Amino acid sequence: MRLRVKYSKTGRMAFLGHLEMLRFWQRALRRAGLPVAMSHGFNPHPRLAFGPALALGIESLAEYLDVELAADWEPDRVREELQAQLPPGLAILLVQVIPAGAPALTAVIDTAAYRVSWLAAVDSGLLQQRVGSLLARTEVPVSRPGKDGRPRVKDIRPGVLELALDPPPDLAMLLQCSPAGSIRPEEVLQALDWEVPGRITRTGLFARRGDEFLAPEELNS
Amino acid sequence: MSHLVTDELLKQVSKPARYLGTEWNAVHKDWDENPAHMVFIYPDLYEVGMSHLGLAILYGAVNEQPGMLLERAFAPAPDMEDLLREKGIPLFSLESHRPLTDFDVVGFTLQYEMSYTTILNILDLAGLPLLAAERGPGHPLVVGGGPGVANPEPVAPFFDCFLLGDGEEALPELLALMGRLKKEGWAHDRREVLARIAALPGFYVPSFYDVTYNTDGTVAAVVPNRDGIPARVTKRVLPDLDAAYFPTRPIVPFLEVIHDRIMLEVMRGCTHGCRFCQAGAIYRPVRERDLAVLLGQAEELVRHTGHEEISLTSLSTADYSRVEELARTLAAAYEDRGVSVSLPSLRVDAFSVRLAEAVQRVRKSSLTFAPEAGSQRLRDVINKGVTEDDILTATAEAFQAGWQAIKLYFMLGLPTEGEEDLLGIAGLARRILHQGRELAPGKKPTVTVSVSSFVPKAWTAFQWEPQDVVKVLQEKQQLLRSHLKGPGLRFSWHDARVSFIEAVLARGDRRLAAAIMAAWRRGARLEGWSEYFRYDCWEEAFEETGLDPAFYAHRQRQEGEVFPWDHLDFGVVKGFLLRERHRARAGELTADCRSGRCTGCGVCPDLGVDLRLKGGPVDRAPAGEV
Repeated sequence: MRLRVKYSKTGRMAFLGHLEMLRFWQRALRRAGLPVAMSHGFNPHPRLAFGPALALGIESLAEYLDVELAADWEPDRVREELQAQLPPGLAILLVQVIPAGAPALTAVIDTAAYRVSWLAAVDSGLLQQRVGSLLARTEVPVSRPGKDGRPRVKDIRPGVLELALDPPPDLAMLLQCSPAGSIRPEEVLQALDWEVPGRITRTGLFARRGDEFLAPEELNS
Repeated sequence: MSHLVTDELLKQVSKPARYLGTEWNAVHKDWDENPAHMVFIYPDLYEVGMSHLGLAILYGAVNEQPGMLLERAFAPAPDMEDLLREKGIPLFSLESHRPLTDFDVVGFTLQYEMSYTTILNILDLAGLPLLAAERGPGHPLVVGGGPGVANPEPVAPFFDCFLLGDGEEALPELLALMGRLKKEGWAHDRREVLARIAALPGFYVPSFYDVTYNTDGTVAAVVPNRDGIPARVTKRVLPDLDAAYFPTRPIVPFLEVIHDRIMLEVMRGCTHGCRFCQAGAIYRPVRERDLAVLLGQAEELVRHTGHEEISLTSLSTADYSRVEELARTLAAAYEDRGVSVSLPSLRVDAFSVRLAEAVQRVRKSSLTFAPEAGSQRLRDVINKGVTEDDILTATAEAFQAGWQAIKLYFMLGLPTEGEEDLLGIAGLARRILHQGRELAPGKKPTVTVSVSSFVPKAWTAFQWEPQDVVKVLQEKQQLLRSHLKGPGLRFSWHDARVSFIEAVLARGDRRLAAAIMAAWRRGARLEGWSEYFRYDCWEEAFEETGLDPAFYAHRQRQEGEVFPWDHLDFGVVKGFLLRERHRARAGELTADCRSGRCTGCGVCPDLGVDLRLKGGPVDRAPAGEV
């Protein structure tokens, strides 16, 4: 049986990296007593798959993992047993049974939504103006460190799908997030030349279907 | 919860998960409801400290008691240290993020000599005076424990007291006393507090002892300077591990740590009697845990941690009387849950290899053996009790079972070592490689020779011996290197200068504290990591303090000499060590006391304890009969 689990990662848990989360889940699942299916082969490992990695220090209200069980468990029971093994800051939001052949999270997710709430006063009018001018441009070059450590210039404009003060003065972003390329929310702030410190939260992950953005839990219904 | 550790701070450091304190099974006890507060510090990075079984045991043993709490702290990584110093933030405990000075007791585990400068760095980051004599009312007591207290004299001036031996019972006793003294209003009178602590068995208060020196620089005597203080402090020992506390809810780190697995302690102590080995002496006698107790602990540990590996931990796990039954039962019980069993240290014999082969689901890429010396003569000198035949049978078994990489550990600079002993290492490595090519045709076997340098330690038969000078050790490394070239052979070695500083500190006296302080002031810290070790700090420190490191490391000590640690009692009697020294010189082996023949080390009568074996020698599957 294959399950899709949606969870939030908030507060200090934001300081756990992707690899740490992977290790954490393997152990939490074992503590919860879930009959996780093991891969075959020389060095068997639990059948788990995650959505796109979340950068260190960013909170999230919509993280996903798919897990395969060797026996059928009620989703409610999974949710209950698993939640009992999580520290404050990690909360199960949804457990859903998905078809065995459903495509992997990383194969379908291509978009991420973020919200930035400001830790100091901001001039909404000025921010709105910067947002407008960024969206009006056809190219937005941003430098990011390349694989060799040297800065590389990248045009992020095609990857910025939506950018708005929503609700003001919070800044809401909808950004490309796929194996083909991902835009980081910090890069958008850099392009806006906006230096007010903010707290970034990932609010959703989506699969684009034409003009629609579907959450992973909406794909299999 | 204090606000020392902000998100802003965590955002600026690498691996912020080191500092969160919210790992699974971390204990957050109420500060006010539990009057006795202690912070346990492992003076190295989080990844090293969280791999230490002693921390897990004492953390649980104290925190399960009412009225006291034990939190953790580690050495900050250099990026965090820079930020703390820049922003003036004191070093903090992980659980409540309080400054270390908020605690009644600040405890360090002394695991290796090269952590001493890190201890000073931590005291400094906490804002505590380094010298015990300079600390006053309101300052925490600084306590040390662990194997380093076999000779704590070089760091004695930094500590208020030390605990000798097993801590499971002694540490809660100390904190219960602290709780009472706080309630009675004595807590601010340091002398009174220390006098009451010195009355507890196993606690050593160095300021209550005066050291006098002979004109040649050796110790003349260490005598109590106060009434009611024992002339010798005897170590604590738990007679029965089955009745002792063992943590079944250890903290599960978020980060990958060095030993990232369940550590099931199958026994304490080792009976082999290798003459260089300090652990084998100071953890006597051997006390095994009952099989049923271990199986029960393993079940709880799997349930409460979710770890994927159970490591059967001890100084020499293959010696545990019922190791085969234990390992096979655990491997079968947890296979379905994806939990494997591992044996951290293999004895050099076929039995160990077959056992590893039978239970290790996760096949490690290489198998490691420690013959320690390259010739039979020298292996007899150190009482290793292993023949070349044992070694070649073990490696043959390993190649046949599919392992292709063999690692061999040796020590350079052992007493009486000559060129033929060194060439013996290279010869043995080549024979094993040749064996691998024959037994695993078409594969590419490799043999890695890893050498450390012999460091004479207190409480061993070699405590009188000089260490080779650095130049000689380096020449020996080079000689071996030139003989271990070619396809399939690898060679690695430790920095001989580190071993030299270790040797100075391992058998040093209180005067060395000045050199440790001087080295720290010059920037020495985290010296267990080769990238942070700075020999120049030590050279300058010895020069500045006028202390001669060769006096401690390179001097042949006289048999009648008073040692700086002679007022401490770990049970092993000096007469036995002397006898062992002479047997070493004569190349005579001394039997393992599991055989039933007492070697007369003195521990059992001295400490009023017994060897505790679960099954006895008859139940032990002899090599080759698995």
